[in-house]
Amino acid sequence: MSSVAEAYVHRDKYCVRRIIDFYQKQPTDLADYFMTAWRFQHRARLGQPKVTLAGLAAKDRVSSKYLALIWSTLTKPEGTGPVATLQAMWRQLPAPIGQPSDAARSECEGMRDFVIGLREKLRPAVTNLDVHGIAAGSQPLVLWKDRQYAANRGRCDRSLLQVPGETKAQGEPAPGGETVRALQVPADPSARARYEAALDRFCHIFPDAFYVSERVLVFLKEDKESQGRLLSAGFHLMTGYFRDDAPLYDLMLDPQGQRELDALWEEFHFITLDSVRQYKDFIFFERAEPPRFMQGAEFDFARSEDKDATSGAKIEQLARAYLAKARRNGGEGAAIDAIHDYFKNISADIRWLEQTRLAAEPSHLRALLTFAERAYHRPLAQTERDDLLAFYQGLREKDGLDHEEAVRDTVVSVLMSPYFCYRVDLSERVGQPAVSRALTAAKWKAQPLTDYELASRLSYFLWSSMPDAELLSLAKAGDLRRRKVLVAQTRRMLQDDRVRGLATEFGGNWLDFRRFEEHNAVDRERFKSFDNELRQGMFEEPIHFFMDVVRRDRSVLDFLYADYTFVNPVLARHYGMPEPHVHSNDWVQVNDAGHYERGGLLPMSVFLTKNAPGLRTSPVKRGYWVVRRLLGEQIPPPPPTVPELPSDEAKLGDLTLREALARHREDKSCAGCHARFDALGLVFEGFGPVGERRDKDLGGRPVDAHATFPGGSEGAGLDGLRRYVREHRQQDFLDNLCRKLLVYALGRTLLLSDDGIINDMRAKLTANGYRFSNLVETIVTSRQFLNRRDHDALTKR
Amino acid sequence: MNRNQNSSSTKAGGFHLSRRRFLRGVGVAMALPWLESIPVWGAALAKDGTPGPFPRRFATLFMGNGINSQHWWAKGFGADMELGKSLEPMEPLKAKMNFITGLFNKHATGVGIHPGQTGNILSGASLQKGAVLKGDISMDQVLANHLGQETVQPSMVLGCEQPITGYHETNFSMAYSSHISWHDATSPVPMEVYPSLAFDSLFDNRGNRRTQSILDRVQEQAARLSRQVSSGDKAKLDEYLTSVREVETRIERMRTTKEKADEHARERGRPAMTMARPDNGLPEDIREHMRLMCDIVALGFQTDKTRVATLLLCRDLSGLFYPFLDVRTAHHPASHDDQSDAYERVSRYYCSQLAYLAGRLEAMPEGEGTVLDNSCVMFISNMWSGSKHDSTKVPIILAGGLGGTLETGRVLDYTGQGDDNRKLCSLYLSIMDRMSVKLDRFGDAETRLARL
Repeated sequence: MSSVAEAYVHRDKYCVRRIIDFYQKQPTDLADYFMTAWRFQHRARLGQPKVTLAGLAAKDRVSSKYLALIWSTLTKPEGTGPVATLQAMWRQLPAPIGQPSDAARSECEGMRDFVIGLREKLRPAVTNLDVHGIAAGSQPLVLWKDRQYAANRGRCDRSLLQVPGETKAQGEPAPGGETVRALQVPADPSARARYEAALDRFCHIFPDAFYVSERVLVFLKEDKESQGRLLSAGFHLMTGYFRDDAPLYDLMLDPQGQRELDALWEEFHFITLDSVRQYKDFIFFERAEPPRFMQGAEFDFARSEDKDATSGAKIEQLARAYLAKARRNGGEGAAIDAIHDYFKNISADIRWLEQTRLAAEPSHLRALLTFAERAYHRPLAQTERDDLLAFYQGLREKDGLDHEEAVRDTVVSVLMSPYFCYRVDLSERVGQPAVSRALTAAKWKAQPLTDYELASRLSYFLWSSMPDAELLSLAKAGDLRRRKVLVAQTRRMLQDDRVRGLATEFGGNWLDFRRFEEHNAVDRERFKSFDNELRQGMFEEPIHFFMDVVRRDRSVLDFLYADYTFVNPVLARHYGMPEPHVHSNDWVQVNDAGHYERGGLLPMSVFLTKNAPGLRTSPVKRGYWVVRRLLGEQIPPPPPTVPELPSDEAKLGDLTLREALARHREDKSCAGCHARFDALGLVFEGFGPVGERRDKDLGGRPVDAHATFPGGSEGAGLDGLRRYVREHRQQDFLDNLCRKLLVYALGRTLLLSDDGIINDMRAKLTANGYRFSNLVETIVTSRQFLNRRDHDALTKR
Repeated sequence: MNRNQNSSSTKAGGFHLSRRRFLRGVGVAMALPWLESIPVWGAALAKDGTPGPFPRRFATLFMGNGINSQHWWAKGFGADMELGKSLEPMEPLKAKMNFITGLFNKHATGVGIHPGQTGNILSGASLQKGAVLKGDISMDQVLANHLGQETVQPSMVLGCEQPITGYHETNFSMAYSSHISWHDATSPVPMEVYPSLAFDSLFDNRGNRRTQSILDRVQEQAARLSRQVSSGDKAKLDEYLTSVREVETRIERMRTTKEKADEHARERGRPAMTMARPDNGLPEDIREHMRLMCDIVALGFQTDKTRVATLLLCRDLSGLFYPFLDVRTAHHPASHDDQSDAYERVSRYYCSQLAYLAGRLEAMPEGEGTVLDNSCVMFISNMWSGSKHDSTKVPIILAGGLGGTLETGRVLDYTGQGDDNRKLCSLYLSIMDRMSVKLDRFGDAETRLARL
């Protein structure tokens, strides 16, 4: 539903924040400029004889444009006035000797404080305009005052100037201080004129503010309470913003920065409709709030609820009535001009808004097409473009929606489209009749992927997301399928943060923790430490581990045997590790994880918790997870008549869980399977239901992590399991990993003909230190990855 | 065709959404019914023939700047209750109302006048000054969060006056003067001021037509695609089409349910309230505006499209005019002379809005009683006195019995009972209890309101 009147609270917030952020990142501390100028002065001694002023500005992150002005201000001889004083201070800055900058820095801050202190005294005062019957906080008068302040940023108020020895009404200024001396002017008229000209230059170079980001109620004499009214114009009650950043714009910003700032303000007006809302508030205020200037029959036509309230004609009509009354009330001169300007400006602003919004519609439609291309991850066929635009037009014409509503619905239709919800790897055939497809696809036939399809397949494989601009441009140029390019892109992609997609989607599904963020089987009454934060931490651990293996191109055997893992503070607490002093969302590598019985995937609490049914552990589930997920063993589901174990360890009676399981294995129908995995779960008995280390189970019985593995070897705990896997099952693990990753990359089950590539992957792993990249590079350069199997084969599978 | 590898989940605002859920979510964004609505009007009976249980509903009517306290009083009990002049519109319904006085919101006192007394009226929150809005979730939205999945719309948040966003001299944003309903600490609920759009949000109108256009389009795409893919992939597409069809079915079901219910009501000689879709745009007469909004709330309650409604009749610092009451100034300046006859007429006019809405609900039979008997309509203002900007107590009237859980016909005065025993948030806890939303604490209260 498009309730046009609303959501402006949020639109304002967003747009205002963007402008404030822009302002705040501008370097406006004068001390920084003095400091950089000092570095330039002493560039040779600081070991950079060839550095330029602009080069230093870039390095010190100050405005190059303003630095040039400061440099010439400090170095161009000035005989009199505050700039001369500043130059004297500048000349006395210490030269860099030994540890260079500290002393100079504090002196530069002294220069800055001198400028700011004096500048404050030279700021012109602005008095309110006053028209009988018009509130001081009304829009025309406040905006006039805002404009005066803005215009005065670089101007000098001379009222505090004093000839030494003469007394002024407000008494002698306190003796001493550069500021006071700077306010003393020579008595001699021509010297005084020179001095005042110097003051003017000073005020121009050092504006009283570079920008104004908060404004109080500017019509009040004092308003120290008002703070945080970001960009506000300072009206009473009414919506309204005022831009006052000319010094920043003129003195500091380069053309690109100027364009950026202009665009932010334009978008602000465009998005928030602030001029329309401001004008409607004006009508409300002047009619309803004391002193109610707009009372009386001549104003009855002006109501904010009228649809044409903001039309040019209506605004003009109100301007005439308003001005007439203002004149009748004795208003004249600047006040009348201010009112006149108000109506002229607000009308122009509203017309701009209407025209700009209308003019923007075609570009919104272009953006819609771009958006659809991003959503479908490929260029659209012309018919599809036409179709999308026709849908938009239909909504406007047939359904009577306005532009914003129609765009919104079109976006929804893109996001609901099967082309977005699924990856459709047959782009070039879209729009062709199905019959010809059937003819060409009579037999199985490998079809090379198009370049876009390849980009898409690669990107969804490694990032679980759409291709980025670089991939798309390579696809467009037809370069991506060149082996060298493909491998280079793969390496680039594996270093990218987006590889988290692979860790989460492949890792999460392979190891079955993808839904752990929704895991609610833990009894939080019994395990008070288990909260959402810990659950999230558990979920993240294998992701961080996986990403590390990928990005550092570690051996895939680290998954099994690593003596390191990754923790955030909450997980460290859970593991009894020293808590790292980092933010709660930051992760650190722990290298002596074995000390805490952690390291690699096996003892991660996410798996131990997921495979425990709440109030007891489950050697069955944990063992089954190891053999199925890590070692790739296929085991049939249990028969339906299996007796249940008690759900709470404390209720097992005299038996330990181990004994109960042993009894279970006496049943022949169970033994065949359980013998294959129970042992691999029993070794985890030293870990409780939320993966915490423990000596006793919940029934108070000492735990026993000893097991006899399939084949008869024995071992205990994590080390025992690792030894068993290393000696007997490592090949199973590698084979399984290769298969799972290939299935994931191709998005289909494997066929007999895929065995070749599996063998390739295994061989390359063994030959190259088991590095992860061997797997990926073998896959992406394979025939299977570069081609698509055609329809018939798929239907037969 | 491969299923998107990441299509099973999409990271959105810290929550994982499946595509399937996303599709549903899109449906909701298009103002689709979430679940089939329950035809409660026309005395629907449960299978065994016993009436109800009927849903309980809660509405707030807000008026800014207080009432004329001289004429805002009630004495006695039930049918013998005596009402002050401003309360006369409630005369026919006095046995079904409670007159409450003496309650207050601590965080709305001592913070300066107007916006700081308003934006927290339904939350009890301490509000933040300056450009950053911060309050807290309001009780209507707590109810909506708990009960909303039962109905087409979790709640309706309506207004008869446009919100403004400037600043008051207390340095509170004027947004607080316009928004009493809050999703959470930082987001006021967008307020619908257009009756036509409020109507559309409840009924099978423009919203559904728009949805249908989108569904037609994506089904067409899917059909085209389906001709080009293998049978294996067709199965995947079917999964998708099922999601789309679910959305479509909900529209269809909503339509047939309404038809059936209408028919049912006609047979029993109790036709459902009907209402034509209001014209687009804002009504130019405030009386019509308020009447339409009250009608929409009544209709929404009767047809169980929503169980929670918040209607800002006027904002705080309101600029509404009442030429028809022969009041020359706008609402806010008029409230500065709150003991005047003029402001008494204003207060009575607002009370008549409550009487109108409660009267409409009372005229809707439901089981042995009426919709009003299963509802609670709370009339509240942010001040007791507009001339003194006094929020140390606020005027409240509750109309309706919440399915027999709320005794009516009473005058409850909490004046002078100690600040801990007269919290607005205690009242909200007590009301929410009766709506089956039981919280340990809400706002600044941990106890229920005594004697309610």
